[in-house]
Amino acid sequence: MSDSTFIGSDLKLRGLLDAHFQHVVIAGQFEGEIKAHKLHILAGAKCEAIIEAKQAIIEGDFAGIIHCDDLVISESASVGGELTTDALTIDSGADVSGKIIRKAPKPAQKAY
Amino acid sequence: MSDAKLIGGQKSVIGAGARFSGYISPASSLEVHGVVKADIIADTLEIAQTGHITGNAEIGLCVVHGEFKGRVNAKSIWLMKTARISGEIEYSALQMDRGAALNCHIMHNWEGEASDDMVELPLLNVENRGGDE
Repeated sequence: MSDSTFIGSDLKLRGLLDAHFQHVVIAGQFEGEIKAHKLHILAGAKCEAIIEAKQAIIEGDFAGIIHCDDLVISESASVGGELTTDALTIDSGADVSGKIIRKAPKPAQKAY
Repeated sequence: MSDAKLIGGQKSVIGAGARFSGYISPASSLEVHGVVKADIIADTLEIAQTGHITGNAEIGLCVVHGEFKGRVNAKSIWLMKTARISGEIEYSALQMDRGAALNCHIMHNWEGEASDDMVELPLLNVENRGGDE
């Protein structure tokens, strides 16, 4: 029994993928909404989506909105959109544009 | 399943516990362990015991351990003992194991290449019988 979801390079999915407790790997194309424990967008993959995940690794093309705890953007990645995360790693050479938001910002200290 | 194994082939997998609804482009090979609501066109489709598909399917070889609701048109369809089918099956070659449950309309595809498939299916049966379940 496979508890991982893999979207092959020859496949295009459009819709809602709810895999809350799963590892989702995308080598092909996805449009829509993904809920996953761990999401891995491989180099060459294209993903336009709203993503909710614990951990996300992006090596391919991504456009959309990500909410996650830990986000890693590799040098081969092209990322645009709104990234909300606690921890962010961007490798040198990665193409990143958009808005980056700290997921749980510390309350601002009052200046007296 | 390791990443290396996943990346090694073109087989796409919807894992157990995952739910997908929407559009799926024509695929070479698809394995469904989770719940899918979509129409599927594929060379090979395997529905695992935990897999549920609702929709219409145009398949070359379809192996069913799980549940399918809808209309399936397959050159070869193999219904394993845990299979549950409701809807409609159109086939050129069909094999059903004892225990498979069908509550559907079944039609043979007279226009299909039945003669070739009918030769292939017993060979498939012998080769895979040992690895059943």
